[in-house]
Amino acid sequence: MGQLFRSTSNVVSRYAFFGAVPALLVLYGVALALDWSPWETGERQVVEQPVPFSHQHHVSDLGVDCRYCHTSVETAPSAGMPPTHTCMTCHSQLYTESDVLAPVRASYRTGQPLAWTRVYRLPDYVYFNHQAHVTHGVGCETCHGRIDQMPLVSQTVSLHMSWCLECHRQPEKYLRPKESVFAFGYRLPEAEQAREGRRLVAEYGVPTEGLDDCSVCHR
Amino acid sequence: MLPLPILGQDEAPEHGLWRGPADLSGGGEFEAGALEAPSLVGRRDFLKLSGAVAALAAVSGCIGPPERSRRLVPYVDQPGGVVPSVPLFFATAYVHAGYAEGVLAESHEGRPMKLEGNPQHPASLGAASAWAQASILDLYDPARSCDVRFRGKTATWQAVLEAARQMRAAWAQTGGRGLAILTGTVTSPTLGGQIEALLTQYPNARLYRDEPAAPGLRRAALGGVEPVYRVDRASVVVLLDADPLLMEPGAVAYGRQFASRRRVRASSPAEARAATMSRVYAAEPSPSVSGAAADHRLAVAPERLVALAKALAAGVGAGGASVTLTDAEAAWARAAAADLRAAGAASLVAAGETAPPAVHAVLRRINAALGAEGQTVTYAPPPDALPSPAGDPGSALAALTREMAAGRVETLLMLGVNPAYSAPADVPFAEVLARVETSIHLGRHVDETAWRSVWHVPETHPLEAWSDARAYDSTAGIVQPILAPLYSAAHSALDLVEALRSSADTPGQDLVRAQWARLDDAAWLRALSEGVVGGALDEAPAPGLSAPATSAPATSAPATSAPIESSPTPFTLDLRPDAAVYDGRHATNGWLQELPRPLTKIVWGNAALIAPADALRLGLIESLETLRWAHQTVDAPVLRLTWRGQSVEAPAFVQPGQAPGVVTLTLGYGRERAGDVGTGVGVSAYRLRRSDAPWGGPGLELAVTGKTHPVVTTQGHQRMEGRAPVRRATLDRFHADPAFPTVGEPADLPSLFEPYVYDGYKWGMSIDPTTCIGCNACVVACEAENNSPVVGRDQVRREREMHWLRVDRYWVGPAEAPAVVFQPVMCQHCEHAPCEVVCPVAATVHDGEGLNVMVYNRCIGTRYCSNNCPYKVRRFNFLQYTDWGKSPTLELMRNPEVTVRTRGVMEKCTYCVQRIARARITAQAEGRRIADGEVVTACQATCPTQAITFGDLNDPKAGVVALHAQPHAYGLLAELGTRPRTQYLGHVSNPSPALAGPATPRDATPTDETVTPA
Repeated sequence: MGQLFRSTSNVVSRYAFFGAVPALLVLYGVALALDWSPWETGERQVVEQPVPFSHQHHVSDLGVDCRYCHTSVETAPSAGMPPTHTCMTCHSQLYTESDVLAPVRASYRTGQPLAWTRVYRLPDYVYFNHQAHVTHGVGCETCHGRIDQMPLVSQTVSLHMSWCLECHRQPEKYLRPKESVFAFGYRLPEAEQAREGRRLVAEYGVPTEGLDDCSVCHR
Repeated sequence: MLPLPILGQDEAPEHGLWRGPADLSGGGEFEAGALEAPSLVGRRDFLKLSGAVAALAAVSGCIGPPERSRRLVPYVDQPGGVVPSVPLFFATAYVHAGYAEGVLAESHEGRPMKLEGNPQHPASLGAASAWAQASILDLYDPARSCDVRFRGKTATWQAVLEAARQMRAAWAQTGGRGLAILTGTVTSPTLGGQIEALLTQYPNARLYRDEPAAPGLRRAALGGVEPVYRVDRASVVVLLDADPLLMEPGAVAYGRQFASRRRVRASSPAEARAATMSRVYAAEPSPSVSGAAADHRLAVAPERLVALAKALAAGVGAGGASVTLTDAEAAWARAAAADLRAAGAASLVAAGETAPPAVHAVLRRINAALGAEGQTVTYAPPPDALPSPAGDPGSALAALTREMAAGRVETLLMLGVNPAYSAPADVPFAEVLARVETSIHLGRHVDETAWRSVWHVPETHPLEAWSDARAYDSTAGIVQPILAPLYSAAHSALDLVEALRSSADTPGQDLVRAQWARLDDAAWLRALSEGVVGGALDEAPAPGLSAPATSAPATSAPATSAPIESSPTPFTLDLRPDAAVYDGRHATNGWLQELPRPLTKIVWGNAALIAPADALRLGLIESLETLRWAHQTVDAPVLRLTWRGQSVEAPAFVQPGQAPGVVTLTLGYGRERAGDVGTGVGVSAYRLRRSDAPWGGPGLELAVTGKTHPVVTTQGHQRMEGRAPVRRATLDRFHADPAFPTVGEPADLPSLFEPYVYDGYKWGMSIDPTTCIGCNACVVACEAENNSPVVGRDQVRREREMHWLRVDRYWVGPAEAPAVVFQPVMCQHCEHAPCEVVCPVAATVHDGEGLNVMVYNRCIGTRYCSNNCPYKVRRFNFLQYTDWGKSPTLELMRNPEVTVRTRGVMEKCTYCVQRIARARITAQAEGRRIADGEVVTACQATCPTQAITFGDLNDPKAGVVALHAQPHAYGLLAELGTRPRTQYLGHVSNPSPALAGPATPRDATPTDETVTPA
């Protein structure tokens, strides 16, 4: 009985065998890269909104405080979205004929709320609480980036769990004094931040352990 | 193969505790067939399927969240006081069969999501019944009626108003001739006032009352008054077919009072020696929640209760009648009478609505003779807002039906009642309803009556409309809406009666406000925010002493009982309301259908409860050892019950503690139109009922049909394999040795793990089975709080119920007269949790506060954790149980603080981690530690008897620390080295030294208890 396989089969099988491992690795790497890319996380993608609201204009040009619209950010899990009434406190006087504000006026007139599109989306099983962060020295900027320079809002961080854990494991690297929580562009040199951060951790009573327990965010 | 012994195969269960007949018969660790390899799918097919499953899982993982979760919708004009994501609590009342139970409704952005008890309401005292807890599901029930119907076609409320206008015009001529109004119990002063005004306006109209599960036999026998108890003042309680802890309108308050006299603590040896308990005697035909709580429970046929009452009366010197009693009855009555005499005014004798009417007057004489009247019991007019119908209480519906049959009823207004289903067999209401020219039905479902009526108006849920209601002790409370009606066509009884009365179309809010016009605005707002109208501001007759007992006309009420010997057959029919679906009104509620009934643990149906001795005599079983069919996996034989010419067929269920010769069937089943949930579930006991004997009587014939029908009961699920879960002692033993549960056990077991120091919070729980009455309120509260799904009858049959908290029921002693112990079991949050070490993906881990947390998004569904859990408290989503996207109303109901689980995920009790998180964040923001009592779990909050305590074990002042330090505290299965954070207290009972024999619960230590099967 002759050979079933020619000698070239050895080469083929060898390449197939040893080639499969790197191929799988590459495939895995591509999948991982895709998973971490903005395509999947939604980073830096501008989301269409019913009204092209500019944070840059309201925050930087006009100096409106975050809490003027996001009223419950210090007292509740949700930062709060401004009711149409809040918009109309100014816009009943200013830009009353503007086309881009037509949906706001319509909402005020008809009582139908505006439906914004969420930019920062967390999965159902994650329970984020604005109050707990803002009252303990986590600045708006830490998660929302330079929103004061954004004409249209986009997500500036990946929102992966590993990103949350960076701070939950080393809060001293990111905390800032309470008076700077709503400020933008706050930044200390690394060594100073480490010193200041440790002081703030102690002052605000931030737990040094257990912030990465599952039950802190998942219920 | 290693010949390992199979647990429970050969040995009798230890300690005399048994959960079901299968335990007694030594059923073994595994179900029949469980040891054989499955043959349906071969290895190759299995691998193919696995590959397909993996591929599909990968595909489904790519599907993102639904687009609507992207929407962010603010208010147009945010109401004051509302902060999105922060719940608000509003005081209102849940109304059950007419009576109010004060609740606080937790509202998330206008969606009521959970009810808690209202501490300021006398019928709640901060706790809530299972029915109140389940009423949230009633609100969001997808099967609710949402449209007006006229002759079977959809109509509008405008059409109702137009019809009402024509009726008003006609009635103005005739004085309302031909108008009949049928209601259930009405305690609402506003609705009562409206109906009375209607009757004044149209003097020829007639009013009828029909309350199927509370026809008012006791009220009639006592001459128009009802007893109101103070169980906390009673050292000796004697119950004759009474269930004050579950079935009375004041049950939640009575539970609190009862527990205050049953709780024993032993912080010091002196306190242990001084511990006292009330002593409870109960005589009843079928085990009830209150009977299970008794120290001496006597199973007797209903007709023997009159004799027992007379014997008690003679024993305490309240009238002498000589009666013949059996030995057991005589001993029971002697001991009870002796204790009653000794306790004097600190005693209470009570009988329920289902007891023979003749006993009530006798008991009132006994209470008067003891001096207890005015102390432990007051007899007061019930809080009904409408006059009680004259004549025999059961006959109102029969009288109405006769009028209808005679054509004298032209317009019939039915407010929230369902007589086409609940009429007794001798009242052909459903047939003659068609002869009524204009029948108007108001109800939350298109039920049996709505289907046959000309008009049907969808009724609002109590959380959707204004009203008011009185509690068992006549305290008034305002019922305020938490949200606008989910369906615009829905209207309240107030709206409908108002439409028939005038064209003003006054809103319900104005009607209620006008009723309480004597409250100024400040008092009105206080009544709204507190949920009760202050006593001084309420003009209701205060519950006080009514006419002395001797003048009660019913002392001469004829005894309806007949001697057992004279009955034509050896069986007595015993009908009673169901512990979950009540008279059938809750049959549409999946939480209640799936709630294991306290004593039988039957779900999704009812069964003919039969005594073990009768089952033997009928040949249903050869011996108690072959009682396999009473287990959930085997079909039960169907019996034909024939009583006074009517028959129904019902599966038989052997009930330990059932009186021989008595067959009990609960009302509320066999609904024909109760939505997807309730239709066709169980057997309608109304088909046996007679209006002159609403609770049945002697003369029942039984026949074995040879058919079988599955009875689904959870009593055999989640067994802990004959270890010593419940540890019991008598009060005498407790005095001498309060550490009885842990005698002979090592204080601390060695461990391979390094000890972990919990220096922050350290959560723990304590449960007191002595005060647990098994009422199931905690089970429903847990479901409501934690978004637990309903799985349905077939899945429960496969032991897949999703209750995080179960109430185990153990029988102790002989099957004829066992004692009962209830033990709520949920995740014990073991410090050395066996589930954690076997999870391959670390989906269940410990957190720094000692919680055994379950991370749903990590879980891959291996179920290893559940296999390794000795408490069997983990629940697996075998299918997509949670209704996703199909019922929009159910989505409104979900607690936004708790993840909704999907198929393939394990879940279990979290110690209400969302409530801990809420308290932690609040405390952190205020820069302090969480105070004791700030975190209250859902089960703890609703418990009428306060049997559950939760708190921080690192807080030396916490109540739970003191309870864990009790000498009679023990960890469940702690001998396995799991170090559970939940601890139980040993069960203590207070039997009379005068009574010995099978009815006496014995002192159960791990060594001295033996089992005596029949």
